[in-house]
Amino acid sequence: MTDDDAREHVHDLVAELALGIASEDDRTRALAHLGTCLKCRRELEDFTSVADALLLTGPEEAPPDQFERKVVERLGRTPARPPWLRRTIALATAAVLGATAALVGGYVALREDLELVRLYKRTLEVSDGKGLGAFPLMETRARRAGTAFAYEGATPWVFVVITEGRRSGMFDVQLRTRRGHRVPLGRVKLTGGRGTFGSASPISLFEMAGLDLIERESGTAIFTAEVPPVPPG
Amino acid sequence: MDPKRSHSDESLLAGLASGDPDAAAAFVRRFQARVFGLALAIVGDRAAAEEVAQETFVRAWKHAGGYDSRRGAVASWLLTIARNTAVDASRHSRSTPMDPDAILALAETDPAPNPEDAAMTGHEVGALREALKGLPDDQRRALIMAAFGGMTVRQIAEAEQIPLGTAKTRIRSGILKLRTALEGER
Repeated sequence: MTDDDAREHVHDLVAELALGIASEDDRTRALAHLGTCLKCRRELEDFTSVADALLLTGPEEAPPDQFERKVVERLGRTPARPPWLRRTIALATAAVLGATAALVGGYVALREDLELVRLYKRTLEVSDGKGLGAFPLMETRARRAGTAFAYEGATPWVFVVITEGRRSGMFDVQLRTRRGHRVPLGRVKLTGGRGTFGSASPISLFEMAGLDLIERESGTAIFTAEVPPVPPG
Repeated sequence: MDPKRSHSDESLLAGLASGDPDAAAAFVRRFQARVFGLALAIVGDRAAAEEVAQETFVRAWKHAGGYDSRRGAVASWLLTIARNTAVDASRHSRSTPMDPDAILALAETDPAPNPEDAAMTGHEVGALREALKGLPDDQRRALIMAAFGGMTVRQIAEAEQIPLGTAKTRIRSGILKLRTALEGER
């Protein structure tokens, strides 16, 4: 799915996203667009605020006797979320912070990245997600061009937002697995060094070693994101 | 904030996440009526609603570490979990979609404002309820089916026997009107 496809219909999807009722395909299309459209992003934030407030107007009813005791007992019996999963979320945020801090004007990019991560996470939580990773997309070793997001939910997703690229044209998007395999995801067109891409992923966040945008004309990986391995838990 | 509240919603949630049993009990006490009320309205059965409500608090505990106050109030976050859990339970237990009229009955309830409500003032909740009642009937039905019933646009279109585009428009128009009403109260 390319940026041209994503620009259509997103206006109609913002309300569904805010209410948590969008289909997975529609969600992918809209979220890829939101990566570079501030207007739609602001509208989604407004609509989400309304959707959240709407739930607060719902009815109240006292639960059966001993409800509180039963819940607390159940919490005591339920296994905690693995510590490695909590670290993954922290690592992802740290990756964004660490890479962006080195850039001139990094504060603006950092704030927008963190807002985008929060927006994606909020919107994708309806998928009973387990973690969102955000990884700098580099054009050279020292030059960051955008961000790659990987979401571990009922269906894993990958989103790529390129905002500072120096190249334009058509690129193949591929994942690299920890076993050294390559998994094609689709194509993206960059215009003026900017573009977005979103796709379901056939592999989980924890199997990913990296993501590459390969220039079709030269066959060379121009943009690359590395995914750190998950620490053993 | 109500002076009787010794802990904010966020601090109770943090205590829940850290495994503090007193904080967990206080968190459940604070929100159990809302969570159970929403669950009961969606699943329509007290036993099933109790299971949904328990599962909601378990999920809240599991995901408490990921809660970000900049994304919304604790109450809204928790009720979203309750809504999704109830909708999932409702889909598993019945072969036909839930009855929109049962969900629509929610629009007729008008509970007293919760004195412990820090997420929105009682005035804002009341204003939003009035705005919801003031919507054209078709927009109110579509919004309630979506927000409380978790129904997709396609399900709403089928239930109301309208085109998909009409269902989308009703939802969007309704939420725009409610946004205007909320902005007027803040």
